[in-house]
Amino acid sequence: MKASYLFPHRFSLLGWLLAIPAATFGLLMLFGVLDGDFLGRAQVFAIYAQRFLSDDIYFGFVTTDLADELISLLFTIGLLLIAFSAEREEDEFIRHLRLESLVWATKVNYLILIFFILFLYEGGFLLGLVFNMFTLLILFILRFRISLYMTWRAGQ
Amino acid sequence: MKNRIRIARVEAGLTQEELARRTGVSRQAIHSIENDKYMPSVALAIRIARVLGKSVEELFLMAE
Repeated sequence: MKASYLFPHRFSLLGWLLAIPAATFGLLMLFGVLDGDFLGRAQVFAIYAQRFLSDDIYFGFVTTDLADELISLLFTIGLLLIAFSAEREEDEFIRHLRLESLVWATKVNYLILIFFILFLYEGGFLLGLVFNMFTLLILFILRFRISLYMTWRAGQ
Repeated sequence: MKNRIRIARVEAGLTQEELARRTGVSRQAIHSIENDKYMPSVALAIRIARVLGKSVEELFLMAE
């Protein structure tokens, strides 16, 4: 029985092809190896932009560097494709592992957020929130893959 | 809930792989069910029982 809410299995590879380069560039930017404007700057439409030392913009245009948006988009889409692509052979047991992993990842993700709320402040909290955007999917992928591997190994 | 699937499977002369193929699930699913790590759906339990020539009640036991 196919789970209609999953992407076809072949999308998983596309996910890895998007996520790994995006993560690489993201980390290079995070550690200052690459500048934030290494892809150049452009004028983009913003529903809301809160600017430092300037008026906020609502439904207008702002000039910004594109790198962090592009990297975040590609990383998010990549993780979604990896996380929610079907396995080669889907059955109810795989679906059970997937659900269990998703619940676990959600719980741990919000524990991490609670930790950030309690112990990170100002710019550090913002940085933590940036990581928290991705940790749910990363935790789910890790837990699901490990569960599949442990089950496979137990059956050998 | 406990089950006697492994015993019935061996009596029927089937491997986990063969039982998995005949019931339309992965071998890992059969392995997990036999080791009480996973409770199958009603539909799968019925399919397993049919393949093994037993009733569902003969294969699955409520733990007291």
